[in-house]
Amino acid sequence: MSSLDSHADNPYLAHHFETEEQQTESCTLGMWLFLAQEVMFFGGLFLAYAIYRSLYPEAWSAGSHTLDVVVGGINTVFLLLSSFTMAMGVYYAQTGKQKQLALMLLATLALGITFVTVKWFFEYAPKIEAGVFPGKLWAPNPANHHYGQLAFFEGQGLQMFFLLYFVMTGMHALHMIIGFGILLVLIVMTMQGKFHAQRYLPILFFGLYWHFVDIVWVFLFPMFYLVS
Amino acid sequence: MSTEHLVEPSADFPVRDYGPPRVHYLNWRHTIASWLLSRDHKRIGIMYLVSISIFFVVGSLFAAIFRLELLTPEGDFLQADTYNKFFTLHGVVMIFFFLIPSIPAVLGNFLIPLMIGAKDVAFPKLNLASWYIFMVGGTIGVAIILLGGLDTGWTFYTPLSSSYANTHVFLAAMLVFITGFSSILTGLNFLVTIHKMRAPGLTWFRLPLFIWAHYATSVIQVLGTPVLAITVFLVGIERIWGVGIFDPALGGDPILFQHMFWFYSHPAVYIMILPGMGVISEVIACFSRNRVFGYEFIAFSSVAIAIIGFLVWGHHMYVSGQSMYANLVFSLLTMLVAVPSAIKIFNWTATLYKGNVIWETPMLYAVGFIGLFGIGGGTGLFLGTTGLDVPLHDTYFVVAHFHYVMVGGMVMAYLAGIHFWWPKITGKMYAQTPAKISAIVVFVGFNFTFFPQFLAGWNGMPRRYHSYNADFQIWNVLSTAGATVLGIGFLMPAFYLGWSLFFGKDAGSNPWGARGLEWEACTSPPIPHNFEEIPVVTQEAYAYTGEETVSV
Amino acid sequence: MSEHHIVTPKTYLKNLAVLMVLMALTIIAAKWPVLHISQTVNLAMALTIAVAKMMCIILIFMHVKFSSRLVMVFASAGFFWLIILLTLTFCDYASRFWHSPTAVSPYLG
Repeated sequence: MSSLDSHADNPYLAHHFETEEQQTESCTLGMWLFLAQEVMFFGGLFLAYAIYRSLYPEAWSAGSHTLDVVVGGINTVFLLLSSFTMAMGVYYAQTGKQKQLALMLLATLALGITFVTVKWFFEYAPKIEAGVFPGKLWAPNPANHHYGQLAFFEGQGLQMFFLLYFVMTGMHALHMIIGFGILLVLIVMTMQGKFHAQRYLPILFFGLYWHFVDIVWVFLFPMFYLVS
Repeated sequence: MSTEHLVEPSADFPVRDYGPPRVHYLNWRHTIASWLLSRDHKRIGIMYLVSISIFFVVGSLFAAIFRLELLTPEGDFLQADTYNKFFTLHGVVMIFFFLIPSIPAVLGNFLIPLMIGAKDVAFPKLNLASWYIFMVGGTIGVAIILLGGLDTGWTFYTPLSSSYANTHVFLAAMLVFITGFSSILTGLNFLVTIHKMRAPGLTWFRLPLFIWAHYATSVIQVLGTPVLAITVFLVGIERIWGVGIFDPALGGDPILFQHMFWFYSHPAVYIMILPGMGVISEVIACFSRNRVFGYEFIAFSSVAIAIIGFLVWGHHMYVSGQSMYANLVFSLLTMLVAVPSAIKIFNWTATLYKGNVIWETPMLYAVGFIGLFGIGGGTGLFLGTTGLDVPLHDTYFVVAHFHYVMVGGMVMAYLAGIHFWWPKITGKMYAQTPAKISAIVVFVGFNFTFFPQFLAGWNGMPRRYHSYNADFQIWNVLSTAGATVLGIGFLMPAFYLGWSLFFGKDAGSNPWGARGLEWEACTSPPIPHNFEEIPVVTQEAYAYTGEETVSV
Repeated sequence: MSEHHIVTPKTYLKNLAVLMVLMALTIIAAKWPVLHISQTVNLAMALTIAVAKMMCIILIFMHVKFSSRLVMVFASAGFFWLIILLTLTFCDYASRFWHSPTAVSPYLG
């Protein structure tokens, strides 16, 4: 088959690819390489976490005990559910069911926004208010019933725990917020009928990104909330 | 000048001259927008060529000024703080805006699709985006220079960078972060292109070694660069937040910064040199009229360098306070990474043996590369041994060592590549005599600049100072004189290559009588989508018969 | 369109159930006093469960189980390199004070 024919048949085949298969496989590999890059990007943070946790086990234990496992656990459920709805979105995209696809993407977005909202109101804001924010603002309020105990911790590395907590969960949240933007675009495109059984790769690739962000949280949750 | 040999056409592609096409990638559209919005890998390659050439001039000017300062032992017109800024900016500009993008982004972009018989890279829009990201980084770089510079050294060591420096470290962190993503996306694009866009019949072991080298480079770009990105991100946070993970006041460890920094920045040395090695393999094979000796060994040595290169970063940290047991491990691994580099040198030399060697300009640069890279790599082994590194670490010996690799190796390879593929890129042939003279001037000037620095360093002259003990003056005078010659050598190509654009004669599709799809199945300059029809490959790379014609 | 494997909703649902169970397990392992053996053992349990969850997500949700070998290699590359980064850096931190047993380590003392 000459390249001209296959291009004439298929409006979705970019000029520089010979076959649809080549295009699909190329995009898939590209997406996975992007995720490999993301692994190393977060990897630097995980390295810092690992080194400092091994140096300051007491600080890790003290800091972790003030984090709310219930809030973290509920948020984990939200995130795992959003991964499930995203996966279902991919299924409906592959089978060409546009309405269900739009619903699943909306559900994913709603769950994601819930996660970030809970994170802000039940985690970041109370900490900052109680003076549990590393740097110039660091002044744990001894009167605070939840975080007050941190004021009495006598050892090194407590601010480091919270610094890594804010940087790592913040970087994770930032990835989610970027995801919200992409999701919105995908939802609009779905409503315009741009995705169907012949064209669903953007949904598939966004799904990969979303699941990757989920994986990061799967590690962050025990690393911060469950230090014994 | 013209040398005629008998022609024996190969089975696949008759060695024939297509002549310049009426419509090619350079002239098919003329507007500025057709360049700035072009998704053609060739035009993007040219855009990189122009940008990095400008950065190279800027970086060289910084070097010229502090080389002039070092002519005398006293501080004459640069004082300590300005001197710090000049060598820092020289390093930052040269590394992030010249050495890392040079061969991959210019020659790689231009040649990879041509060499593998593709119409473009796998993601043309992403390719264009990489250039824009690069230019955003470049703009920040210019801003830093205009706002008063940077004085941390290109390594941004903490706590100097995070707590003490009063210059634009935050901007520099942004610069590295952003430019890094340009590099990551280029690498990603190349990896997918090499995996998925090869022409029918072009199996892995028929690929030109240039492609293997770029594959290995891209692996490092994709997997190493993000670690640097997050590292400078953390330094940036430390600057604006006033508190950071490398801050000893919080129990942080500045040496952790060095681990994370060198995890990228040592492999980054291979980002700089591996594509150069790819160029040398092409040039040596072409001008020896010989199959590359031990093709598989050179191919796999590139991959080996990409992997082992990630295991040796600690050899930058022998005097940092790193554990001495870790020093031993890193030292041992450092000896290992020398093996694949040595294999390459051995195989290139063996390719010359009994070859029909033709001394054209690219070949002069390539042979210069082998010698200079040999010295640069060999002295790397001196520095890789823990005992010898301690007295030499902060001396000019290190400066000379890495300039032998970076300039003697990488820049020579880049110039070899530019001279080799110039007729393909522009369709015009440059004048041979000045080109050969410039190759010799660069070689001589380079050695005069940097060999004295080995001696100065060996005798104990420390790096990074604007004034020095008068005993070292002789080496510095030699070095500055050499730098002047080197500068002239670097300027010459600007003239004769520029001249060739307007007055050079048409090069023809294959002036060197070289093998490879870019020469044998492609016009000079190539047409917008590279090939009239996608070629089918039935034979290995470098099927030289020894009887190809050079017509220049 | 070349065929991507279509994973059924049933498989996704099963996977979600497994993930939820693993999440419950990781909380129990950390918070149930009976299982407080040592920090190292608890960390090992937490990490093992996290890796198991990650594999569920990668293999099923991200379709790697049904993908080409090349995709598997690309998917593992990042993790392989991450292990290099962690291992060699730990080489340094673990052995940094071996040679001066009398000195009080600011880190591990």
